Amino acid sequence: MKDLTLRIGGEGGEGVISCGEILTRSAARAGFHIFTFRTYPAEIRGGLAMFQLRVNAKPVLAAGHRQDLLVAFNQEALNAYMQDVRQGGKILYDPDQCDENPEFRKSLKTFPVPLTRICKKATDSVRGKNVTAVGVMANLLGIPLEVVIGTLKEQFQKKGEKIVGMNILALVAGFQFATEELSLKRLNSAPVHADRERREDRLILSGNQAVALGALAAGVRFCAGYPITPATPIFEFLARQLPRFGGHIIQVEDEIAAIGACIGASYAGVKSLTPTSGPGMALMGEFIGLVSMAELPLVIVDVQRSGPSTGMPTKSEQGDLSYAALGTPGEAPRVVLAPSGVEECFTLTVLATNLAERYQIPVILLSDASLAYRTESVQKFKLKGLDVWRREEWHEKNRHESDEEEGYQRYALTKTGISPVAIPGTEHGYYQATGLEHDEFGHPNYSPSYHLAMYHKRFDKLERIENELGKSAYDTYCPEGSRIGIISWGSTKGTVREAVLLAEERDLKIAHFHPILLNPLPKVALKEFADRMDRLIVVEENFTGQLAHLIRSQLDVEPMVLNKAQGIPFTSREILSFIKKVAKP
Amino acid sequence: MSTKRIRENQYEALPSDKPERLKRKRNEKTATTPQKTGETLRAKTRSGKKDADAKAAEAATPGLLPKDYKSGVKPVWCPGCGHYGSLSAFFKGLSENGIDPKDLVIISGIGCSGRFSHFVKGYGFHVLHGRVLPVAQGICASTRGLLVCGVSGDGDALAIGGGHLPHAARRNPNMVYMILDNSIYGLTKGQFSPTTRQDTVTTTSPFGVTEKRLDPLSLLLGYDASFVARGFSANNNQLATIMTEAIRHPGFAVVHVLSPCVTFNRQVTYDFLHANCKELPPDYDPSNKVNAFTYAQDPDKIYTGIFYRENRPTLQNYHDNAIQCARKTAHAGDLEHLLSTFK
Repeated sequence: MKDLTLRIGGEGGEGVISCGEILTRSAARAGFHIFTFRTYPAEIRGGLAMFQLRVNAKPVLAAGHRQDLLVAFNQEALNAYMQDVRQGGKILYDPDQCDENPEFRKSLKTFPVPLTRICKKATDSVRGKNVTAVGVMANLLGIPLEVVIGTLKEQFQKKGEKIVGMNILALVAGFQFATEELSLKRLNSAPVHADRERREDRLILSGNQAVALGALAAGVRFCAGYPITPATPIFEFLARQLPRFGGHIIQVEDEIAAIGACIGASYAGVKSLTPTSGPGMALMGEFIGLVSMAELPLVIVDVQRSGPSTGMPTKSEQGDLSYAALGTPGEAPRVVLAPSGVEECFTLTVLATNLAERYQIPVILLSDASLAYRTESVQKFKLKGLDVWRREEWHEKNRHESDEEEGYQRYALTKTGISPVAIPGTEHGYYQATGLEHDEFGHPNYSPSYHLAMYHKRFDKLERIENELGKSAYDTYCPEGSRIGIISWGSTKGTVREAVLLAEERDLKIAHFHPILLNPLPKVALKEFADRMDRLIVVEENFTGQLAHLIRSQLDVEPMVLNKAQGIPFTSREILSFIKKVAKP
Repeated sequence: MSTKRIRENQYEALPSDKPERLKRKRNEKTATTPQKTGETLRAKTRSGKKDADAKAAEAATPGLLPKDYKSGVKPVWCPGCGHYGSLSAFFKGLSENGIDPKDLVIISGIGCSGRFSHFVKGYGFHVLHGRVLPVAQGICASTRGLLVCGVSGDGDALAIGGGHLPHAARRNPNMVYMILDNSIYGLTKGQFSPTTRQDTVTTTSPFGVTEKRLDPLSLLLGYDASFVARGFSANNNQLATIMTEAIRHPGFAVVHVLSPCVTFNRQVTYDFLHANCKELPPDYDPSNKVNAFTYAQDPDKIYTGIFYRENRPTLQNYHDNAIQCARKTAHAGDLEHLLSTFK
């Protein structure tokens, strides 16, 4: 079967997103691999909302480039997205909502679908027109009607029988319209993929949902947060689920309080996580320094959005890397991890929690808006045998020799670089955690030698973590004879890899290096990769090239940069055309 | 071991154990100490813990005296600083309540008061300027069986950290919060604070403070803090009684302590406070909030004592209830099942 990308556009509040979600879930249940991208206005109603779905029998790497099908609910969507439809692609539009000039009608690729009228006729209401659109598209994609009905029932179950019934009517009307009146061949002529039986092993979920599940799996039992787009869904998910797992969650007055409460819980021995985005990260800066100094485990999930300041809250950008890696007055080591897809949103949240616990250090997970709302079908996460770490706790039993004389040394300088931590309530474990420079006991100490020794203690953890992760800190793809290497991070991985594979089809051998560990960088592997290449390109969705800065400052290399700072993700074709330019002798 | 910290696995191991144990403790409390009925709620965490494990606790802490709570670190405050009195009153409160130092957590902010945690035997966390309450509430929400005490100065609590105060009061975490107020920024050597009187000349107000003085007690009453008291560090007996009651109070117990700075504040001095402070009348009713406002805003006298107290469910109570209800839902705590819903 073909690789298909389709897009739905309309006014915010018209049901574009839920239309896309129902279609996505149905497509995945019918056995397709799926990959979605969505963008919507920051307003509750109005503005342009868009949902893009790519379906394929094989796993999908990216959201797709040009569309095979556009469904426009109104004129604005038609105008905005028409030019993105590929040569030979089809455009379905609602003639009651769009201006039909004769030339437009003549065009071979446009098909009027009176969604509003069909829906009105079937249900005596226009509210279900997005579901009518689902019916039309499901038909064109060859998704069995009963699969979609099943999805619909689940979606509207809570709203009662009547609503479910209305929506099924709207759906069937759309499905029938496509069969009977639409002079358009089914886009997917192949039978529904045989993979359908194996869907028990698959999950259909978004990046945000995967992060929240990862937190639960890692044993996070405390969360404090302040709602912020696009991290709110993580917070809402945990608000519902944490108490069911015996955990605690508070919505606090601001992000300062959010990280503060998480630090309190962590100090008390409970694994803690706070989800936020750029503006919240800014407020957390001072506390990140304290966590580093007091050596406490803490996970911050930064779902990056387009900045600076309020920026474009619903749009995606990789703009927080420098801040995540380096931001805080003074020098405070922290770990930065960036998931590249939905599956890694789960695995890296677990890893982040594990590293935070074992190394008593803040760990920042950098997701972004596009990944947060991206839906993928992934292999079911394995919970059995999942590696979950807990901090080394201090008890009377494992008293350090040096403890005997003067009491417990919370910040003892040990061979492993890790000092066991006493949890409040532990007999004879009292100590002072403090943001002041301190000695082994936690008592304030400003002497030059202590300050230096403690700096070493705190910073040495980064090297240990780099070693601990080893090869799992990056993913690399090096076809024989490649002399051009692309380095990317975070949510762009699939798009870059797709571009690399497309280049290979055109006999251009391109290598790809994608670190998931961004602070500390896997320097040895990165240097090796850089040394093998004639040219390096760092691909990032930001304006200044923040990973490129980090690489330049840590390795003696001078990469080229390909940046996109428009609030929308790269497409593989954009990267491919840059590759071609660079490769041209 | 009386602490009932919730950690993964541990909680799952005893799902129904917790409510039962709490109930038992509450009964014991009512049985052994026939006090005002409202105070039975106390049994929830602090003194309840003590009662339930009375023998064990006695063995571990055979009647600790106030001096036994000294950490061994010598206070670095100026001689004569009001904070010495605050510290000793706090020690008395701990001793009165038989608190085991291993169950004590002191969160302190930045300022002269910030060093408080270092001088008390127990767990201490010296956090950021103005952020005592968020950290303390994180501990309150996530763990049980600890006595959580926050210590701030006037700047810490009312200027930089002022935004956290109303929300802490609304949540009513079961904790003590001491505001050691010297009406000046001492650690940075003499700038005005939110409680410095208007027109006062300080290093950053050479022509006099232009802002009106902030009244912490009226704020706290307005914010619905469930226990509001004021003491004077030189009236140590009364302050010790207030501390004792604050530690006992099941909820957010705020103690505003007039704690003079002998180095930088020439206005709010011991003499001034001795002349102007007055204890609340013996027949004062701390359940009457309107009355509390009247005394708090008295134009002539600075009243000290327990202005207001009410028993209402705490942050911990609400969380425990939420968890209890949530754990009764189908497939609660079953991650494998939760995963299976994503298809």
